[in-house]
This record gives sequence, structure tokens and C-alpha cells, in this order.
Amino acid sequence: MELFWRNVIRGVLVVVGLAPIIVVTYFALNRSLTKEALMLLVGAELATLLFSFGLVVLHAIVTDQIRLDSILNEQTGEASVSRFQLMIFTFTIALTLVYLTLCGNGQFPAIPKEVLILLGISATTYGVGKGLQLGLGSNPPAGPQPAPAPDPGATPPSPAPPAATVNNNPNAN
Amino acid sequence: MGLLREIARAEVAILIAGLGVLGLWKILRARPGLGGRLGSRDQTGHWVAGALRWQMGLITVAVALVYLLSSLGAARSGTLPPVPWWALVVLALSHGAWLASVARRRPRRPGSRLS
Repeated sequence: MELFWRNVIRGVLVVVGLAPIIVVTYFALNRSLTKEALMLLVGAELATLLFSFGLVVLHAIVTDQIRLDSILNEQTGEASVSRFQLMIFTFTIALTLVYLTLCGNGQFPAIPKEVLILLGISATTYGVGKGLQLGLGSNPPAGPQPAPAPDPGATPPSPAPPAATVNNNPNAN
Repeated sequence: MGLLREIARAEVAILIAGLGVLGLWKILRARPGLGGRLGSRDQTGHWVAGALRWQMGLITVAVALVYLLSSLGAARSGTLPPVPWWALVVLALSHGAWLASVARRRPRRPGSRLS
């Protein structure tokens, strides 16, 4: 199955690469290559190429070559509210831009400064939060001190029972 | 050119839908614990930290939803709808409170005069 999809993607890329050469050669030989036809050809090439790139990314996500399952997790596995808010605002603005472009006249929409401030607040929160958490993680944990060297003549102590599990993870957010 | 534009729109719709479905599926399968662990107390037992996390998450989702709805209404204007200044202030205060709760858990260095 993996080999099949890989061959399909290769085939699409080969067709996309060869098609403009064949088409341009054909129209040039017939002396009927107009500017509009060339622009249409280039546009179709770009659309097909970008769509192929998108399909490659989606295929990598499906086969776990690009892992999205930890996109909202910290390194410790805990949920991260800073990543969550950054993802929400990024997708909101991005989808709104795509929607306005598709519904409008094809022009790139103007972006107000308030939207840029909104994205700045979100990204700053993520960056500062990440910096604080890295600072928390770099400090040595306030755990028990190492035991002194045992007396050679003393009997070996019995193994201590396991301590209760305490969540000392400072990165849990 | 009209046909090409329609094809490009269809491709963008397919890619966004695929990315959304795959992303949601992967994230939900990983169970990051957004409901439980985000709202729980932190390791020091303070309920304030959990409350600050909840308010930040709720305000984030509320602002994003309101913005999406307003952008749906402004589809013909060709520009992104502006965000009200008070919404930015609320958002900044919310995020600042959460950052303060994270910074408060930072252990003091030995010899620091701050207590």
C-alpha cells in the first residue's frame, strides 16, 4: 500500500512536469501559442503542483511520518494551554483569510493592525510561557539529599518501601 | 481562467478539509486531556492555577468563535474584520494572568531577597 501511494505521487509529479513541455512544443509547432493559453497553462501547472504538495503532506500525516498527535502536548505529555490558544488563533485567522479570498474577487484581503496585535499577543504568550517552563525545568529539583557513606561495620539496611508517587513536574500546564 | 479558479478553489477546499479531519482525528486519538488536566489543580494544590487555565481557554475559544462569525458576515467587504480594542485588552489580561500563575511557581534561587 505504501509503495502504491508512492508510485501514484511519482506518477502525478512526472505528468505535471512533462505536460507543459509537451503542450508548449505542440502549440509552438502549430504557431498558435497565445499569451492567454500560456498563462492558463502556467496557472494549471501551479495549481496541480501545489495540490500535489498538499497531497504529499496529507499522505505523510496519514502514515505518521508527520506526527500531529502531540501538537497540543508538552514534552511531558501534559496538555498545553499555550499551544492550544496559539493553534486556535492561527487557524482562525488563516481560515478567515482563505475564506475571504475564495469568496471575494481573488485579491489578497487587507489585514487590519488589530488582527496583527491579536496574533502578537497569542505568539508572545506562547513564547513567554515556553521560556518560563524551560526555566522551571532547568532548575535542579528540590529532592532528597544523597545519603552519607555507609559504615563498613554496620549491617546493611533493609530496602525502603517505594515512596508514594508525587507529581513534581513543574512543566504541567 | 474561470475554470482554473474553480479548480483551485476545489483543491484548497479538499486540502483544508483533509488537514482538518486528519488533525482532529490525530489529536483526539492522542487524548491530550484538555478537559481534565487543564482544569485540575497544579502540583502545589492551588485551585487558582486551574481556574486561570480555564478562563484563558474559554476566552480564547470565545474570541475565536466571535471573530469567525463576524468574518462570515464580512465576506463581501474583502478585508478581515477588525478586532475591538476591548477584546484585545481582555485577551491580554487573560493571557497575562495565566503567565503570572506560571511564573509564580518558579522556585526561588538560594540567597534571593525575594520571598
